[in-house]
Amino acid sequence: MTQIETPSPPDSPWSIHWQYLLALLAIAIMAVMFHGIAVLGRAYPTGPDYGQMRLAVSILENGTVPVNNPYFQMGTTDWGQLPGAPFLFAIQSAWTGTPVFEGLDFILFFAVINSIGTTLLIQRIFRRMDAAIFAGMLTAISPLYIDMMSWAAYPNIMALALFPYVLIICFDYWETPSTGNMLIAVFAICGTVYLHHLSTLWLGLSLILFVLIELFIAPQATIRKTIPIALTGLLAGFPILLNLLDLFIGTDAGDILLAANRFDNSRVTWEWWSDIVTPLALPFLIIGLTAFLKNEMISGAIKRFIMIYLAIVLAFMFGWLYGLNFFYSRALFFPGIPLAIGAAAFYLLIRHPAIRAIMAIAIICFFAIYAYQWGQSRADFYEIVTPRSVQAMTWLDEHSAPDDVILVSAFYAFHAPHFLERPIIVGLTPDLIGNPAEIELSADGIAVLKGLYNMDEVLLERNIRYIMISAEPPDIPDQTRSQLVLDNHPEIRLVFQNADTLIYRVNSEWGNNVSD
Amino acid sequence: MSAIKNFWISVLSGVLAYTVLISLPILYQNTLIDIAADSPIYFMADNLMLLIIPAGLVLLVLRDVNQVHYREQFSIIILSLVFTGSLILAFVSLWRIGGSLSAGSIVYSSLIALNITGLSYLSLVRVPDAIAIVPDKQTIILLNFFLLIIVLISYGLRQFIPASAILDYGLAPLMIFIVPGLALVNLFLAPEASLIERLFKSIPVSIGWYAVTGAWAFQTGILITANSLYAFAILAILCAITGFIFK
Repeated sequence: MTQIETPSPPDSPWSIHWQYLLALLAIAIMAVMFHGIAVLGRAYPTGPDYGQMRLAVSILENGTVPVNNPYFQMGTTDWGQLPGAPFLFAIQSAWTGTPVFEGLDFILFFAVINSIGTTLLIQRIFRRMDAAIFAGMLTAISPLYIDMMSWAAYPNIMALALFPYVLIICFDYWETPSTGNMLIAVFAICGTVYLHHLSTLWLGLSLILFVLIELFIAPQATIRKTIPIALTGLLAGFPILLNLLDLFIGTDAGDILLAANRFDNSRVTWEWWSDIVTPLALPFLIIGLTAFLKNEMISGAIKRFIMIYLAIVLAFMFGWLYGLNFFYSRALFFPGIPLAIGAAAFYLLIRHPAIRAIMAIAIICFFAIYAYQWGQSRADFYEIVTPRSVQAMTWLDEHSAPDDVILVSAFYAFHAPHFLERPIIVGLTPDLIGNPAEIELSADGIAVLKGLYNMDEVLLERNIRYIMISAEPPDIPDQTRSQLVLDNHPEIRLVFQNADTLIYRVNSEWGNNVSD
Repeated sequence: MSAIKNFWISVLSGVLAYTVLISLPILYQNTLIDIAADSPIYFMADNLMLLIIPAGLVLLVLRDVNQVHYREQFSIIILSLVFTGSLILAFVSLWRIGGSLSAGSIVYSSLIALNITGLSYLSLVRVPDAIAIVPDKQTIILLNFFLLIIVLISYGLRQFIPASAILDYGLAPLMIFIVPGLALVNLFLAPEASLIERLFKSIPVSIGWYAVTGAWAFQTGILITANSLYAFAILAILCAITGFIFK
């Protein structure tokens, strides 16, 4: 029988034993099953946001990235996302022959990439594979990633999945600034920043602040390392940079961050934190990261980068304290890497192997069971596209004219333009609006769905012909109120109903509407 | 005590300990701890220390283990306790969540228990020193040609069996995450880089390659088609082979 001793650290972070490869396989399976709660075994993946993969379809159809987002908000807005993530789905579809919307389980590969990447990042930092496997398992079952899967934040998930790799590659370059490491870093960073604008903001800010701080510590060495990679990155990624600037200017990001005041409802509360990040995250972030900072075997550059990254997470999460306007709760989905590092450091604080094992067992048990329950409830909450809602949208497609204006609630915001090639108005509440160009149309949609004072004016001015909402809560705005308003309006009639969707038609003879 | 007897003692102790833990919300409904009788999950997630109690009970039961065979039997006891306890805890919790016995809850709880047991094994048991597999130059050149063959096979299968599982879950992801990146990483990394490092770094480099070539194609008006995408992948391999030969 093998003796019980603390495992000796491998000589290099890239040395691995076949038993650890089995552990990586177990982590990969865990990641697929837990992240797949919102995807596997369901007729359609859950979530409103994957409707935006229509951009992938457009790339395949046109051979290039269209600027304008047709149908969504009556075609008055540009695509409010970077094309990188839809481009990867388009590549997958092109090479397999599977249509984009039938191959969405491709996203589960990124769950595996994230979990394995985090495992090897922890191995790289701590040189302890048991701590790395512990952190990797936690990543595989982390509620914050599972929550994102439930509302289909696929571009965000894809970008976050690459963060551990970018960190390792950047650490390697910083320690050994060879041409080869530089080129690897350039490609890794270009690929990651092309996927999701918020993740790009996080990574970009972290890298820039890191370089600025390193300039104070070792100015000449920092300049020698930074200039070549910056110039090469700008050259290789110039069109990516243009895309980013287009997006930030087009969505008026400066206005959002400095002047917009519609995000107060998104302030982070303890309830949100405990639901998404869990209370156990606190000892990891406080005790674990303290142990990480006190670990003399870890380089100062790595410590500084991780703390800068965490500071950015907290700065955006609690931005209202100093006047920053942001969708604050979105920052809850970015502390994955500091959490993994803190968890690994916390794990290594315990010396006795048996007690360490018991603690790891307890934590993984709790996380796994909680993540399973949370994942199921969130996936059920965001189950928007179902056979019945598809039936409803198909009915509407068959019974409406190509220029009929259709108003939909927020849950159908991105799916309706995919299923219905019609001018569509989406009723988004102010905190859900990312592009200021949508504010007016969204407000009009909300006015109708909430029965506000200008409801009739909007219906006539916008020439709205059909209205589609969920048949049961949840929905945005409140489904019960919307249904009450629409059921009781004298010029609006329910024309289609099933268990998931309600479709109303506005009287064509009312006002100046053109009759059938 | 024999190892088998210790095994059964640890299994029964684990069952007792976890049963007590799950029952606690019912027994302590009106305590200062804010719990719901039907939410053992939240109760346990927020009260980690309560798991230390049954763990302590188990260790107390085990303190009379025969000291001569302590090291040998300890791992059997701990691992059997870990597996049994995790399986029971996970299974009962998922059963209470779902409200009924389901194949899914059995699968998930077994997966959780197995993973936890594996982690415990790695934490407790010493493994031999790990090794790094470093491919030589000839192997790398062969590897790059193999990547080229993958592209050709993928192209062929796309013509004959589109939308098949081997393409969806095998060749296409390989082409997206590994093929161009591994070729370029083999060129960029130092010769002493291990195979694991090459595979690891090939993932972001692959995605970066498609991002850079795709973004330039969009910017310059080159139309993106399935064939042009194959060309991008082959371009990376050819660049890598050429660069490697002259390296």
